[in-house]
Amino acid sequence: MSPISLLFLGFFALVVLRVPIAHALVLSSALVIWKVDLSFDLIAQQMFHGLNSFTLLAVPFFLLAGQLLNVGLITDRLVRLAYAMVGWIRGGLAHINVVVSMIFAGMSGSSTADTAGVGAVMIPAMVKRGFDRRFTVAVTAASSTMGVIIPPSILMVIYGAAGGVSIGALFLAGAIPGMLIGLAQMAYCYYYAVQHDIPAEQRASMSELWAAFKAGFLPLMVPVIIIGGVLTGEFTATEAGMIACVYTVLLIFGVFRSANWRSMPRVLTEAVVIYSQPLLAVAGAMVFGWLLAYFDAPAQVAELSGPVAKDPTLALLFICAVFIVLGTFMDGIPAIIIFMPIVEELVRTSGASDIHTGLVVVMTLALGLVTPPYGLCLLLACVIGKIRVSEVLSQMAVFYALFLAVVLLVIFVPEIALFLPRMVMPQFVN
Amino acid sequence: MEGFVRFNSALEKFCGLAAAFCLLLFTIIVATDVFYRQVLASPLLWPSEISVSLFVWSVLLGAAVCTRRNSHLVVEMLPELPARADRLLRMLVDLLSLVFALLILWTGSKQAWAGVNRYTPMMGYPLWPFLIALPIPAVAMALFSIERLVRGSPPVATGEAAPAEGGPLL
Repeated sequence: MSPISLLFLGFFALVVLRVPIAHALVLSSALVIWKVDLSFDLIAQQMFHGLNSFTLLAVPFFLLAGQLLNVGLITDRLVRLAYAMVGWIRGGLAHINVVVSMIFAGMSGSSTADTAGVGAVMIPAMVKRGFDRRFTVAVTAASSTMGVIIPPSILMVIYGAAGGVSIGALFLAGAIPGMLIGLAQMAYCYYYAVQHDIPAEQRASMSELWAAFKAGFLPLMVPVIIIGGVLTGEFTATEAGMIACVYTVLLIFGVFRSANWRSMPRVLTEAVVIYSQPLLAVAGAMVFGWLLAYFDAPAQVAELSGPVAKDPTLALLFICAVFIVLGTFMDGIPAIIIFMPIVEELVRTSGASDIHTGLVVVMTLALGLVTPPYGLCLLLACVIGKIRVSEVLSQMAVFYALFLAVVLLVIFVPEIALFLPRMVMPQFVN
Repeated sequence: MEGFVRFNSALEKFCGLAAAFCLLLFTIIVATDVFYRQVLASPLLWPSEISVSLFVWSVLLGAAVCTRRNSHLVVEMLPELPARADRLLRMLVDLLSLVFALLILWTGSKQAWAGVNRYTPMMGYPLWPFLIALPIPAVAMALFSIERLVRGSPPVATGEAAPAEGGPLL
């Protein structure tokens, strides 16, 4: 058996046996290292090398920012704002769910924080309002995928760092497609509300709208600071994440006084426990990826994929299909690290835009957050909604279809993604 | 045995708090860095190496905590197994978790040992405190894996265990 197939087979076998992803990556690599008699020192070297990167600090920062928004009850303010904005549309609460996710997406860069924060508020409220529990959970999970598509985004930071692509340009590329997903979901919610005869919420008066806007104004500065800072080049995405954290801490402890200092050790510990899992997988993915490159996998894939590697649209469709499969059982971050060399090779041979490609990869992996068996946001929404994953899948189907439709649209009409980056930072768009 | 469990319990708590402290510290360091550069216009050199190192420590310490809590995320693809097979499978997974920890401990120690007389490229700090971030938490991981092997591990977390603990924090 060739080392590459041994690597993949070993990995899949271990994952099926319920070995954690990070462990499976290292153990399958160790097996190949032993088989072809390379040095085991590679393991520590590559793991350390993989984590020893300033850019990766963006992961804890963007995650922590999301958690702080939830702890400090800022999510509730955003819900009130969304209520005033879209509550009057038929099926009001479902629209609020989507719109809050959209706003939250602009602040945190983490989809799981979005599901947890928005779900905890919106799921009980929607069920109480007479929405079907399965639909409620499905909307919550599906809308939180925008978290990593609308900037800032942890996945885009990783992609930009691993592939040497401008993170600012990726951020810009995600804005319109992310909002398209939100609008498509709102359209479906409207249709659902008409079908199931769910009324609108009360229309907010101008003064209520103004009050909600005032309550949400300071938190809404977070995305402005992040995007503004990254685009002007004043600070890196990692530093922007830190600033989002510090700003949120100032808000919840200084201005709103909505959180307790004593909860901080627990908040920090939980944050570490959550981010250590995908990042340990990043470390493992470095070993795995090093072996793939050592055995020349990227060139082989490009050769095997024949005509696909020559045409940008075909190459993107191929990449999209591969990452949909990967996303069902893997975290997005290690998936990017492992397969980046292959993606880069396909970008090179097909002449696709690296930013366009990056966006398609990120969007596809975002879908992976809500596809079983390993869809973190879906699992989380089901836990909050106290319902089994299998019961929600029939309701998820429509959302999968909507999501895929938007991804295909973005693949076939690159301008949807590239319009903003081309306008603001043309030097990074080839 | 009881002593071992108590020790591990304390060790888990320590790892969790130490990891949280690392997170707090590198957040403050990066903030200081940006403040000096943007506001005082006098960039500092030391923060980048130190903050990245604290980050690496936090990841490995956090991963050790996950090993004890059994909250490393796994993929549920197998159908439900008969109790006996399920127990055997869990033992295999715990054994592999021990192998994983030992691999990191072994190769990480070698790397740290080789780094004793080496220094960081930018600031010239000794390299070993950076490098032992791999093997030291791996000791805790190994101990936690052994505990699970001996006691029999609890049912696998499918990602549903974490939110129950963290609540809306996640």
